[in-house]
Amino acid sequence: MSQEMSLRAGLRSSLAAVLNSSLVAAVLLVLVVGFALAAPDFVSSNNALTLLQSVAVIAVLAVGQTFVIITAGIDLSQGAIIGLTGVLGAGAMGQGGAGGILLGIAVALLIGLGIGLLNGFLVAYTKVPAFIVTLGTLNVASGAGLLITGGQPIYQLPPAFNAFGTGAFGIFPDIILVSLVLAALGQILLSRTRFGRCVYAIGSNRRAAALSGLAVRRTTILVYAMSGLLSAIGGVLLTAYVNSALPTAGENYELDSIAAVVIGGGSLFGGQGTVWASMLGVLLIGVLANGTDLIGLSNYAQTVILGCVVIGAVYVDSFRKRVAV
Amino acid sequence: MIGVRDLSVRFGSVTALRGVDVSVRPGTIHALAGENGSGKSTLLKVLGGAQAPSAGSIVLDGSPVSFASPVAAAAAGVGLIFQELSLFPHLSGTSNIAIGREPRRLGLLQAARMRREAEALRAGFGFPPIDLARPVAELSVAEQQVIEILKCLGRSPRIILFDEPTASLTQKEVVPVLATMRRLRDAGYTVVFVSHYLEEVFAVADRITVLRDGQVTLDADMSAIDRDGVVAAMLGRTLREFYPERRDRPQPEALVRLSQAACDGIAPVDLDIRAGEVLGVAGSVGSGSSALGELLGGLRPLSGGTMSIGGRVLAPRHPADALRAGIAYVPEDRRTDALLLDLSISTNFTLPLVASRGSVLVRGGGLLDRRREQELVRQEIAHMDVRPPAPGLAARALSGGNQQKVVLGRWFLYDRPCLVLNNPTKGVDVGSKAEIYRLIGDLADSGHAIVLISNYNPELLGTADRIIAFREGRLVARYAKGEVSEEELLRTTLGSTERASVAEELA
Repeated sequence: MSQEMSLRAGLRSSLAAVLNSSLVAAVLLVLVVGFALAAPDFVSSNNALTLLQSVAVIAVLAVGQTFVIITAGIDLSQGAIIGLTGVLGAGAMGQGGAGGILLGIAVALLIGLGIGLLNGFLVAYTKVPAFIVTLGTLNVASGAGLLITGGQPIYQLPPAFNAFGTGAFGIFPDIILVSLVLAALGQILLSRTRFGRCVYAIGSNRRAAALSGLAVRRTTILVYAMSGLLSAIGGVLLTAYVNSALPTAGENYELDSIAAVVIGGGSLFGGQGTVWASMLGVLLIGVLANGTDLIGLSNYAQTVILGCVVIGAVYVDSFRKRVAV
Repeated sequence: MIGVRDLSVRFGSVTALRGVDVSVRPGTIHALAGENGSGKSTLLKVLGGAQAPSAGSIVLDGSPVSFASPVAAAAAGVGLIFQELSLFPHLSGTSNIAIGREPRRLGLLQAARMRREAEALRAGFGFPPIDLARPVAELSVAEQQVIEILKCLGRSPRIILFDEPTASLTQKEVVPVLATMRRLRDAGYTVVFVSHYLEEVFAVADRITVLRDGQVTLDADMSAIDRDGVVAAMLGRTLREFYPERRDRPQPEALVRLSQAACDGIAPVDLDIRAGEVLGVAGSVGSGSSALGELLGGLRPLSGGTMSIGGRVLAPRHPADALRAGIAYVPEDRRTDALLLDLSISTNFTLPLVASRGSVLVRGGGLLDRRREQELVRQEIAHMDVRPPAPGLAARALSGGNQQKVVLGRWFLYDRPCLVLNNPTKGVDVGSKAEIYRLIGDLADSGHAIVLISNYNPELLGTADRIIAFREGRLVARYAKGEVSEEELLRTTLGSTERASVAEELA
């Protein structure tokens, strides 16, 4: 009797899981068709690339955020890391050639990694919740960026750097390729490696993970370090793309990356989510922004719609949890 | 008089109760027994208004009634005390007892009157003094249970339903609960309770109803039946070879050795744990028996003395250290401490193996060998007889017994020479218990050192080659197999002061 019940519960829960991720894909499809009908320009290859380019940075952030959220954590410092690493990297680049560019990128990545390690260390070794730790580093990083630059943007960047940011490999813009490669690597890391397995286990039940011999603290630190590093990569991409560095350039980006992960079915309670589903979430955000733009809705209206979509996604997620019990 | 007539309860296509007739005589203690999934808890919930019948009716004082909710049942004089305590942990005992019917004047709570009434209720029913002003989260489980009972009594029921009232209590704490049930009966209340423990049923009940697969298989006065009859009614067969026959004698030399080892909760102890033996560890909650397990498992740091395994000194600071050295600790609470409830059976099975250094499932670059993993999981599901045999199913969807099989199966996949099992049969039905005892026997016979920590003495007497007993943080006795009776082991774990009352209670 109980067997029959478990089997039914199991079938329902896996059905619901498929439903959830394909629901995002279905909504995405409906939106694409709708916008294509409303605004013929939407389906041009040019617009498609513009759309992807506009969410490339968020995609990179969402890769890191997916790992963090699966461990039942959150990283609010991503946007601030973009701003800080952007201006420090740009400053270190100066007007130098290839050497200067590499130095600037290295500086940016090291700082992002450092802030991520600090986040991870604090989350793993203190009882301060991840929300508070990363809210703190958000403020520290964005304040530092403003202090260092006096709030001024940095404009003069090496031309070769901007050439990379706006360049393309064939018809594919560089920054889209970088984000795709990082997303693919992230998905492999999450689903095919011991590290990825540990990430899920920690998020699902930290104590059980420790009793199974997992290095819980080390994994936690690595996850936040990765998120910091990916944020810095996002900062480098953004700086190269817009050909300037602004301490506030990444403001609120972390909210989009969290929204993308949640839309993709990542659970803030941990143990749930995949990189590829988060990428569907990123796409959904991009399509909404781009499509509403084309049909002439204001930026303000877009924000309202995005908010509704996030709540709707979590509602679907909670529904799925309920049937899985 | 309360009872049910031709009662059926269905959940979707699953039938939990089928045509059940039970009647409870006023002023008696009536036990409901049966294996997990037999429908006994469902029956109790129907009586208490927490579950609506699909067919048939509840009969109260000769006429059919229906309860829309536990609140409606309480209004009719039927109080239900849930198995999972339903108290508000941050509120005081007084507030919990008065919840929902607080005395008010002009809309404001009358705190002093509330305190007086709660205190009077406690004293009136002869419960020992409890600090009713403290948040109930700070009270012991046994004290919380008393609060739960007072909360029910405060609503002046005539009939009191207990759902497994002793499931989370130690043997020492069980005695007063049984005494409470007797007091209530003697004061004219009618008591119905569900229990897994036949000892308790025989100690207090006047009448018993046994359910199997949703149907009544025995309904009799306690004076008219014996233990074997009840077990036969529960299982549908007599319980042969409940505890496994052991093949080999334990090897003489120690695998794990503690010399004057101490930690938080345990005074220095000398102990050898031998390969091929089941070492039983008796003791009530807080006696040090669980602390010993946590010390071995690397959850509690060694504060003095030494610990060694296979002759090598070991001072584990994390479970990972103990695992690497060869000791696996299987915690008591599988849902909170062992399982990844939302992850698959497969992931749950292989977690320790995947996490281990030089794992056979991990190739270069940390990549998982997923084909090998699937193969091992398929074998282990068959070996442990996990039902349903679906590797991708979330662990949450399994029954308690099957969840425990997954937890134990991990240590067949990641084979450690010493296994420390903390109450592995807690909350598991009789059939799965027998299977777990068989697995423990197999593990010991294949040369593992098994430390079996249990608050349930009969299983220690049935499975262990040696038994040690803890009391108040000290190892107080060592027994060879067959050297100790159940009564003596209980007396040892409880200490001499409680001897009289317990012996009397069990007599």
